[in-house]
Amino acid sequence: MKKGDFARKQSFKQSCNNENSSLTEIKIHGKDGQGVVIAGQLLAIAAFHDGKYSQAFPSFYFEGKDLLAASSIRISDRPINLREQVYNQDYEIFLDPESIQLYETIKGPRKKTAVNNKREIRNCTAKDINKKAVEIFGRPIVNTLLLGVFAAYTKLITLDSLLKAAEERFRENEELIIKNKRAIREAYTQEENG
Amino acid sequence: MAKKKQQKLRTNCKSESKFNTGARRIEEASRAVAETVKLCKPKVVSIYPIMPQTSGLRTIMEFSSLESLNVEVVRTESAYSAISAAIGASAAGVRTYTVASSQGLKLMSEMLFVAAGMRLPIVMMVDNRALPAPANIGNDHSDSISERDAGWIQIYVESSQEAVDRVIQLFKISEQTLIPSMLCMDGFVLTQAYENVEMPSQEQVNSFLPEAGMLCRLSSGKLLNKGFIAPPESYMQIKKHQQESILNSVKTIKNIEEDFANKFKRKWRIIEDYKTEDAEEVLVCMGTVCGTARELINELRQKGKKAGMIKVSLFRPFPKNEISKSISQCKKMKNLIVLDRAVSFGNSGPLYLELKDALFGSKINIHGYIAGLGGRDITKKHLEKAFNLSEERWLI
Repeated sequence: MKKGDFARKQSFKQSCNNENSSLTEIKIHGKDGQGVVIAGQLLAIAAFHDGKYSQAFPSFYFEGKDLLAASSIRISDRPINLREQVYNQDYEIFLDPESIQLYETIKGPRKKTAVNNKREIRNCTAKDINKKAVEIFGRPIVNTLLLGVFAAYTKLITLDSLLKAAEERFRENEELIIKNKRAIREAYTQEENG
Repeated sequence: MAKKKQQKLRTNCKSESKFNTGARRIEEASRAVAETVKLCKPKVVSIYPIMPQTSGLRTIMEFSSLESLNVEVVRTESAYSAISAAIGASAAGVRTYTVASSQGLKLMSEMLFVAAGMRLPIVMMVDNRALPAPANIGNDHSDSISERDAGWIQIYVESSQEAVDRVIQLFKISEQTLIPSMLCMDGFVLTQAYENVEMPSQEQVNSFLPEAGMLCRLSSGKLLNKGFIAPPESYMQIKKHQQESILNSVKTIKNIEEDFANKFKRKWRIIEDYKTEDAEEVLVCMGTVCGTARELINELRQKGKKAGMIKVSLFRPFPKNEISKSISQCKKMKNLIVLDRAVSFGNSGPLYLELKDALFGSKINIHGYIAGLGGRDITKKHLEKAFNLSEERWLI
């Protein structure tokens, strides 16, 4: 890359950040089948209930288990036209402790991150929530638990709208509503109380 | 078992009352379209699931269990049968809807020509997805664009809102012109995207869309044959008539757009100009990439670069006059940049070729670029490369 090219790229990056000051971008990483897509949808729905414009869409390399998936979420005060995937995320969520090692190499302007992991990582809130997931769902499905942690940690979305989002998203299955609402509420209060 | 069924029906009824509110909501695009289709009251929906249109199908399956709607959902064993069932139903004179994607659309290919030749107003939602080989589920326009000669109306949409509004329009367009139509939505990027959308109400749709009714339809009481053999003399006349009708349909589409804008207060145009009056570089594109282009143009303008965009919604029939008019209004234009999400192998991008044809004889510099094949994300960086007239024709 030429020198001038790099400078232009940097200034371009800055101008993007200035112009979309009301725009918040979030990326959720995980393996396909862990609930990456639904977590993204829940965040978008919750932001909508907070009275904002929001957008969420998935991207994966292929359908199937054990393949990497990501969800791009945008929250803004004005309608969102942008449709590229999120690259300069303000927040990141890792559903899978293994995938953080893969993504640690990515240097985005990372503000806050929620991770499902035992060890503490700089600039992250790391929670080992697999045990709780097994207790509630019978298997390690951590997406709603981690969203509860994320909401309490960042205060980007309110607990009420997140609960409302779960109700709306799982409207076809009452059992899922009850379990996921419990997961969100418990994770949120636990994070708030330290 | 009975309890489970009852519960399912209950949730359906609950969701039905929720669906009819006609308010601003957040919804998955394919689901929003399926719910709008429900408001249009098709009598037959023939479906065969193929990724990524499955979530739309799920909604259709849900509403099919509602007795009040009186809709026949035909679950076929292949995409070929799905379009065949749609042709049968449409020939009997009822409003018909079907969905397709990628290989499924290719399997339908033969029947697409039949539907257009028989002048059946079928509406189909196409979730644009790449074609194999190699296998891929990502988005590009190659599946529907390569069916451009089938004689169907093709509209490419940018957002959930446009998709929802266009599907209502398409039922009316198809039934007025007797030409089948495709609503082309970018797979995953749009169809799986949750975003804010204003859902129309049943009353609004009723006031816009009349009951389906065809003068010439198959019935048990009257002997009639459709799409039967034609000798060379009549075959060519029929095809000439078909071509004239699809070319003339542009006028009908524009009228219906106008009518829609009056009733729903949302205006969509077959060709939309975005900041082109003083633009030096003008981008022509279709589908969701238009949204990203809008953002980039705003940023480039802040930096003093005069960029603009022409969004093409209607690809078939290609509105040559309208696009020439739009381009002739760009007085300061130096370069016209065309972005394709498909390739015509052995030549260049299909939209680029259409533009070349529409502007034949003019001295405008046209640059064609290809991007976003097989789910490859088209970022602002890619588009900026195109605006800078990069020498690479493939924006990888």
